[in-house]
Amino acid sequence: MNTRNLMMNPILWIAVVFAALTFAWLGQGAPVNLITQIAIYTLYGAGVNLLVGYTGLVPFGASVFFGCASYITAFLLLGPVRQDIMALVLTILFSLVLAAALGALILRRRGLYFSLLTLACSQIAFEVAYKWTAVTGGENGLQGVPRTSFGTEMQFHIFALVTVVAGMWFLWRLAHAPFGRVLQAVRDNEQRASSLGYNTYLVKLGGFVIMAGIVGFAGGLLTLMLQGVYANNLGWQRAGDSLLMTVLGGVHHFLGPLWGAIAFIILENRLSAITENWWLIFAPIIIAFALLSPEGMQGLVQRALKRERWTLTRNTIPARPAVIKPYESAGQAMDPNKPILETRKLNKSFGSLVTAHDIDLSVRPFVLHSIIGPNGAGKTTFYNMLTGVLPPSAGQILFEGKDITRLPMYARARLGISRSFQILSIFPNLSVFENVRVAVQAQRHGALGFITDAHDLEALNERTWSILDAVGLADRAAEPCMNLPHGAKRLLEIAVTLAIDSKLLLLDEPLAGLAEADRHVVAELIRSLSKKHAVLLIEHDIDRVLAISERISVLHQGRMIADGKPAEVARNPEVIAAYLGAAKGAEKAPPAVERAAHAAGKVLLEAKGIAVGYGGSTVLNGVDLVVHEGEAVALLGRNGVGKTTTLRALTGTLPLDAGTLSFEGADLGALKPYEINRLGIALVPEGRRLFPNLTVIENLQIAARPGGLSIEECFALFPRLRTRQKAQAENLSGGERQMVAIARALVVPSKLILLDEPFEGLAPAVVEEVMAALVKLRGKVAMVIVEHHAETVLPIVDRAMVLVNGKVAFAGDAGMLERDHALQAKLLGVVQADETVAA
Amino acid sequence: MLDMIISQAVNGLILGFLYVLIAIGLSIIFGMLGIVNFAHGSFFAIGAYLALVLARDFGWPAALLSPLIVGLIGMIVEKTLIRHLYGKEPLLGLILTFALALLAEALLRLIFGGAPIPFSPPRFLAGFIEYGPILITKYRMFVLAVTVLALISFWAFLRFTRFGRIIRAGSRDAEMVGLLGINLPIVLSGVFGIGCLLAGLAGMLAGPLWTVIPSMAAGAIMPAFVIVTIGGLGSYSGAIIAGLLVGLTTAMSIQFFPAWSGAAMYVLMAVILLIRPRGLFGERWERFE
Repeated sequence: MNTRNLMMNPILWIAVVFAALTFAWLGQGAPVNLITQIAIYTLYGAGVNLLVGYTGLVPFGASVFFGCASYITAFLLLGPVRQDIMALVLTILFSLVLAAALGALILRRRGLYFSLLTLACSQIAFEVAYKWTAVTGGENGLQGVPRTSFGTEMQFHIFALVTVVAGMWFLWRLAHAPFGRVLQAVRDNEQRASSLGYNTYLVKLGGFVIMAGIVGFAGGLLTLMLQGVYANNLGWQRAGDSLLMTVLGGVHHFLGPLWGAIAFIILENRLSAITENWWLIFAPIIIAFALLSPEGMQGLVQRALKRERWTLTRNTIPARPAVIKPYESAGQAMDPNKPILETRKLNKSFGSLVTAHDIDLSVRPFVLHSIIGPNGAGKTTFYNMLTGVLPPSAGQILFEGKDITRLPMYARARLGISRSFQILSIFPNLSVFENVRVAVQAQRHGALGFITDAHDLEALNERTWSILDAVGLADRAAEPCMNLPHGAKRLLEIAVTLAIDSKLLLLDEPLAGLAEADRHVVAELIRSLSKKHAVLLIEHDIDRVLAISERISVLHQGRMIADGKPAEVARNPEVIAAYLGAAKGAEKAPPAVERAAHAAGKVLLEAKGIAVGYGGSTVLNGVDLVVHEGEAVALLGRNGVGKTTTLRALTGTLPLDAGTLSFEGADLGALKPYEINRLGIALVPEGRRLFPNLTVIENLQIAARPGGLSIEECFALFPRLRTRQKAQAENLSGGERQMVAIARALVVPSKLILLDEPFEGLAPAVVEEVMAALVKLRGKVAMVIVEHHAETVLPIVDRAMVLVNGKVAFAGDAGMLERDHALQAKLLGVVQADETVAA
Repeated sequence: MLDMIISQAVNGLILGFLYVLIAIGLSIIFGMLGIVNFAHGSFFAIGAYLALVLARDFGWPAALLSPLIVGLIGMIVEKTLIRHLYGKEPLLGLILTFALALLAEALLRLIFGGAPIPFSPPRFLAGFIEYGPILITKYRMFVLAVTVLALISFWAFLRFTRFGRIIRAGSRDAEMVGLLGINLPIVLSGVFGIGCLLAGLAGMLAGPLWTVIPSMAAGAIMPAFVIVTIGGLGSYSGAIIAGLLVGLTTAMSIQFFPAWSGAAMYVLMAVILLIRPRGLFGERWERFE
């Protein structure tokens, strides 16, 4: 180890700080007890931080282990065991057992419930300690606990320092060991860790038990230091102490608990010499830190040094090998003629809603197989059944001939089924290398290993480098995942998917939110992976799917309506109808409306070159949009092209990355959603978003303002709502909900209404009813209607705009687009690009 | 024996309704703002101290101002501190409100000293009501009446007023409330203020019943947490039933197992949560999981 490495070793820091404090105190002739206490609380805080910082669980009552352990040590020493070191060992054992029992119950609950349950445990323990005077001494506690091995304060002090440093050493090793690294993966993304094959419940339980062992040891030391034990360490106000110290020092820093304990205990000591009321000074300090420096004291220093990063582990990665071994797939030996995945009559229904109906699918190795389907086709449901997120209502799923219908997610992962996520699902606070490595570890090593550094497991490193190289991320391996551009994150998502020795890759919209250049890179990667694996791809970018797939299955309304080669599928009339609407042939004549020429009217809304995205991704890229007074505009496009995102930008819920937005000349850029609504823009959101716990009339009353339609007028527009006005919104049918959602936008004095897929999921009769209402509104108020079925909406609008991959591909007269079926098919349908050219 | 059970039951009921008042405030703050307010007990304590001072210096009717002042303090706290926590890590909210609770207790200690201060009910509420073998102080009956009235009015407020509708709607989808043209930041201050007002009211009422002492906050916040968790996050009827359950359990255990009275409600909570993970009436709300 060279000097720099030595400098960076936090264990050395701890030892030096403790030694320095000890000498400083001895120099002043002050009692060394205070420093012993700091050491004990450092370990206590570090134990708690194993859950908070490393595992992402917030125990508000870790004091239950600290307090119980301190009593156990006292009982043992006053009773059967008259040897202090033996008593400490037994205390640790007791804490481990107690934590295993409590944790097994409590960890079944998450989030806030977990925090409150731990608090309840500590309160029960407090009440017992406080009230069971015969055993615990009640308010007075127990005194005269013998310290058999240590004659002087100093001897005990040294013992405490040495064991605390040893404990910290163990925690530091643990943080880098296979188990500790899984804890951090669970903290960042529990669902992903589970999908990689980790049993996250057991992992968290393991972390919980280790925490209790550490905290319990600290509790035992405190008893020896005080030579007594008191109930107040269990009280609700002390329950938060260890957490406060840790947060004060910095939860994302290994040394955070050390700085927190020093600040806390020395301040308490100094302040209570001046005033009894030391919280008067200390509480504002904590509040200031919570608001101004959430990363604590160490975070403050690192910010000053311009080195803002977490220091829970070393930020190094293993050396890159001179030659990276080429990536080998676990599925290379698969028989190309045998299907690897099959579903038989797979069904899923939610109440009366059937989202999957008798789906038979068979996926073969080394074939790029895609599933497509319009919105609401049931793709996500189907995918969730394959991955084990949703249990099917009926039917079977076979993998390599074995029934896996009821296997949980992690067990499927272990068999070699690996999934990517539509919404990026990686471990944001780990390095790129560690993201992949922890996934490789899932399959090859598991979660066990508590001392050796996981980065010393050479076989795993080698595999990790191969995968990183295969997706083209080897050069960025050391970067924190958070800093990657969106395209690289998509590649990483796929790399993590590969890492678990998968035979079958289930890829859910891997191109979502990517710019054109990145789409090309990712699509090529998928194509090359399909030579070595079985690949099932779900994707909205139809052009790309048709270009790269070898086989396509089409879902529509929960059924498989086509299955075959891309060219066959693209010609299938049922598929064309599913994408373009059932208008052709089906005699559901939309209300014939004379198209008014609104285009000459006053400009109401104008968007110029707007660009919007989510956390670094680009969804809209330079979109222009104009809406005139009283004009109806259809905003069309296939799934996932940015239609809803456009509306989010218009309503102020997503900030603009570029471009300008104005409404009647007023700039919307800096306005809050409620201010935009008050200017006269109302939204009928996707999924309706009614308030389920309010009645129909209350849903309307909440939005109503003078100048909008009266509720009576709304009932005139939707007579059906009059009879349902007292019903809770959660009990309405889909059609009724849509009517309420539209009415809710009308009771506002709005000049422009934005409707997001107003016909989605409605029965044909209801569609007509809603459409009739929209026709009545036409001309009175401007409308932007988002739709993916052009045929449905084109007859009732003046102008149309088509988005393709975040850009405007067509803007013009609705009638023209309605007549031009070839153009519709090209922009909205399922047509292979080269075929259109040929035609 | 039966008399004893009945009068303890009445005591439990009174205790339970007071707890409900505190818990409801905690619950709406939690539902709308997503903040676990550890300082909620402090507003209860401040309510008691304010009522005591106002009654002592200006006569008992002035004490009625105490809940309003507490509500106002709550709004100021939301505007200056709590506001900055929306959308941040929940841990920060826990820590900040916890520190706030300790600060409030220290302030009370500084101003009023650590010793309990006697606070007697107004003269016209002194004395007992006798009903058969049951003997209850007039003041307790008064507290029962006021808490029940307050809960009914608050329920009506939530149910029938515009602001009440906004609170109910916002607890499910706050963003959508903003999209309907409602000034969300002001609503959030208002909700925090109202929650604190209820705690202050409970403090004012509890003052003469319990001991007015800086540490009384803990006696309010812990039962409130337990009630909110047992009743199910965000459920009004759940909070009432859970509150009465906790009140009765506590009162009965004081009578029959005094040593266990402190732990009784936690045991109740642990058992209920293990059987019904989201409490008696809790629905699945993603943001609390």
